Amino acid sequence: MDEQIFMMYTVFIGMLVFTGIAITMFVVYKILNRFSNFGDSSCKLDDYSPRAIHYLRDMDDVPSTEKRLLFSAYGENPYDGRQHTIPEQLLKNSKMDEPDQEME
Amino acid sequence: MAVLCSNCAGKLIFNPATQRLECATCGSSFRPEDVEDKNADLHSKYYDTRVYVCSHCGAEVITSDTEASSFCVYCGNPAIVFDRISKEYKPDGLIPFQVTKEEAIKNIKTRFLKNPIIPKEIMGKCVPENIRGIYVPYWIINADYTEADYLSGKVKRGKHTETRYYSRAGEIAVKNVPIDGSNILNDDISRKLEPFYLEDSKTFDEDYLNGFYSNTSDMNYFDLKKSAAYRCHKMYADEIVKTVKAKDVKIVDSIYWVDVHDDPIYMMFPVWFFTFKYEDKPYTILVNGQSGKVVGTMPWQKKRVVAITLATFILVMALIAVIITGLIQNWLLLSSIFVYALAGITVLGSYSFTRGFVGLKRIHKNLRLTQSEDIFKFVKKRQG
Ligand SMILES: [Zn+2]
Ligand SMILES: [Zn+2]
Repeated sequence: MDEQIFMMYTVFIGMLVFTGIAITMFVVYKILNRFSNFGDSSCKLDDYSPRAIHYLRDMDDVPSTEKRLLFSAYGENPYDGRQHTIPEQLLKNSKMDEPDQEME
Repeated sequence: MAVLCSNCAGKLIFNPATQRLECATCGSSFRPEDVEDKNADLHSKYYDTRVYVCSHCGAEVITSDTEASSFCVYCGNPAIVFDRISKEYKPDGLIPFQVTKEEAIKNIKTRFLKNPIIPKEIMGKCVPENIRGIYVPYWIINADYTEADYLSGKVKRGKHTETRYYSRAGEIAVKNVPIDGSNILNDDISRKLEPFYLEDSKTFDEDYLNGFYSNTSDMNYFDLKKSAAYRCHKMYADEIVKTVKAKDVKIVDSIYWVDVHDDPIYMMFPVWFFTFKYEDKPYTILVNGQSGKVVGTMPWQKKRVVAITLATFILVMALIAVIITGLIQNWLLLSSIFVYALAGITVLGSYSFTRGFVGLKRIHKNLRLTQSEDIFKFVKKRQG
């Protein structure tokens, strides 16, 4: 009986200490973030797109077979075959890469 | 190459405060549009540059000046040597520096005020010699983008939490996305410099480069597509995670495709680089030369942070003890209030744990990114 109470007591204290450590971690993170971590933000999708994402598939709580189906449906480049003109600066750089590859 | 003052043949430097080229010798000033280099062919696709190479890290910088700074902008080593005169393709445009060096210094220095954790000795290093203005190459792209994601999330069901799975696929067209055009600067850092406002951009004129360094884009088309895909993926993933109504949402697996449209625009964007060493490690803090945004994670005084951590822990434990003893003394030990209080503390604990842990991991990663070994990919570059 005594042992049981001792166990409960230990679990109880342990829980409180864990909470203490967790809150401390959170506070330290907040302090470091405020005083040392500068400019940690970047632009969002809607900064670069006037429209929202157009969903082609939108399913919740899916069975495990869905993963295979999803990636077989989208596993191929939908833009394959589109031709583009490449800026000269980029062409020049790919030419310069060639001797490098020979050395390797 | 550098254009000289038409009144005294002195060196002209672009001043961000006045947006004019100024002569330090006689005090004359000119609008960049009005200055003409008699040797340069206006209709040429090329412009002449002086390329300097760091023999320590292999980084290249371009300057119109006949003398480059004595130490490397990227790794901080005094190993900069003149390498060659080179003809480079003119970029399509640039955003001139609008933030002066003094303003950049001020923006960095204000971070030290009322700041208990970053070492004051770094502030002493925030002097003009350690801060260099660089025009960083960017590609402005329009693109079509498709991504498919398989996500997981935790959902409460009665007393249990269950892991559920979600399936998403979508497409979006993006416009005017800036893609960091140099392989050397880490994309995870350059992304944070945004936004850049294209409204202020000018047709490329090398006069704007006077007094600054610049880099040409060293990537090829494949690199550009890879960077563009990564940039879009980062933004897309942030959005897609929000569409799942669950806790602790994670992308288990994803696949994405990008199609960069014709004629991406080749630009130069202004960035101030503040390079310093702390405890023998080099760090680089960046300042957006248009908006003044400061980007980077400063190292902190370890002793201070340890002291703050201990003090916080003691305080938190004391608070918890006060609450618990308060409840016990009021004979609430077996009442429901006690149980609720305990449950509340546990929930608070696990919330703080996840938030704190994820946050600290992120800051640690950012600190590493600010250290020069990670912010710059030191590939020994090809010559000629
Ligand atoms: Zn003059
Ligand atoms: Zn170097």
